[in-house]
Amino acid sequence: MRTHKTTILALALILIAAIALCSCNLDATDGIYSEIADSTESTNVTIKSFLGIYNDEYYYLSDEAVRKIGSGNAVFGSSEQIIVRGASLNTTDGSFLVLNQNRNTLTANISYYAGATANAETLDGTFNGLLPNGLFYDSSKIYRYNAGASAILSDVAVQYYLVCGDYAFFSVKDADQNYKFYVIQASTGTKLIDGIDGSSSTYTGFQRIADDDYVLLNYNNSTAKSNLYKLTSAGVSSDIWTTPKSSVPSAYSTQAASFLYNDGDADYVIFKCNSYFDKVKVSDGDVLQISTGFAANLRTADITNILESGTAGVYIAGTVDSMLYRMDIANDTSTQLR
Amino acid sequence: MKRAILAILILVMLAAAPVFARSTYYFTGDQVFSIRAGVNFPGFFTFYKNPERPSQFFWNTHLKLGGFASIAYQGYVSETLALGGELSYAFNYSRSDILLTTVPMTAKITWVPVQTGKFDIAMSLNLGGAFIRYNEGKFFAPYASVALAPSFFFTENWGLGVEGGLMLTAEFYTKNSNKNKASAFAGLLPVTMVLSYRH
Repeated sequence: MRTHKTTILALALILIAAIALCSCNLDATDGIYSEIADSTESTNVTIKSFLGIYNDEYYYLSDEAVRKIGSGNAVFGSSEQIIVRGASLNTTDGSFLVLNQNRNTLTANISYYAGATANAETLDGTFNGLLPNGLFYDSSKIYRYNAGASAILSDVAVQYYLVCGDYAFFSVKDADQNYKFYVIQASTGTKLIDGIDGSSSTYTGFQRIADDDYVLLNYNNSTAKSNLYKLTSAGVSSDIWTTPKSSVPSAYSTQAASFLYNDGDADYVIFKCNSYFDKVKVSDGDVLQISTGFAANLRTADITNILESGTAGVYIAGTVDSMLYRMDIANDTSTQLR
Repeated sequence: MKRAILAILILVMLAAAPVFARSTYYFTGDQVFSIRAGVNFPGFFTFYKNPERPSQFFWNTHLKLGGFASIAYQGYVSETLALGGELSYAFNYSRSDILLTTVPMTAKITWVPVQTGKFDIAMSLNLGGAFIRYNEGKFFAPYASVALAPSFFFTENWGLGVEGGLMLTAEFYTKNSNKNKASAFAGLLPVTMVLSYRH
């Protein structure tokens, strides 16, 4: 009889505890099971950036080599002395720039290759970084390739940069240690935003939406959300344009992949912070949040960058560990390329 | 295929029942302590608030094969019915190699229609809640499971069996929540070895 009472008491306690805990549900950051169902396949390949398509081949920069989809061999690989740190593909002529860092001295040089099998031509100088769109920099200058290293900007120290296709946003310190912001078009070397007063803010996303209109994304520590701000030649607006729905509270992510899309009637920026993609309509120099949820099966993927594929409405996304994805806007499909 | 296996199991059990059920082995007040360890197969996800999203089964859930372990204590309240509790731990990795953990804490009721002293067939129902964690998400979900376990007792007190069943959890979001469409039922299929001590 005593055993009965003990058993029933234990049972009652378990049920009471379960009911109490259910009533103070710890709400998940997002639907756990839908997040699992949307998870992308890990491929054990770390992609730093998708470089582009040339002759129907998809090239990407992994953590140690330039590779192309479907080939086991590196196009430009690392060695015992050298590690590949950066790369850029010119999709017009198939030429490459590759940033090679010496493992011992940590100094890096840039090699130019006229094609995937061409011999290297090493540029003069040592460099700190090479962007996927072909801009590169050292401790005091920003360059583009023009039969050698051609300086676009001098007497600046790059603090960080953000890339969207052919365009790059730079936060630099000038010779007087003042923060300055630049936007440079890589293919022409044009300074579209030319040294406006900057700040120490670290923006996490950047997208060009018109000739002199850009979007910057900034993470706000106090609200634990990311917000969109407008950047023009006049500076960064202090007003928040909008807060992407995909900016999940308390889920800070430095990734902020985006691309500009025109459906024939209007321009849209499709932005991804750390969850779903947000579709933002660009209208008369303003942006309007219109929807979220695009490419749901990529919402758990860490995206490195997104480039146009050359086919209207089709974009290619590089992901940190799930290879490349082909995103078709019209029918909202995204399929893995590997 | 699944129906055929289930039908065979039921037939075997029904066939065995008249032979073994003439007398019972357990008495009211008998106690059983058991531990389980085994594998955890993905079962299904059903997003019942999102009609555009079809249910996903087995590997299409994007879960990999995982593991399951538990400890349970029960006391017989009649000759064929035991009541008690169970604490379990289940894990699966998603195809992104992120860990899903499910920690059910449940009341457990077991019906033992076949009991010879050497051989038992037990059917269990667990009800309670489960802590679920995946990536940055945490959730406390209602939980239910059913299981079937044939066991062989190689001594008077110790027995070894195999248990298979279905674990069911749910993720509920209200109509006003922006996660409403993520509301889901999830099923997992643990298959375990069971070591039992009775007295």
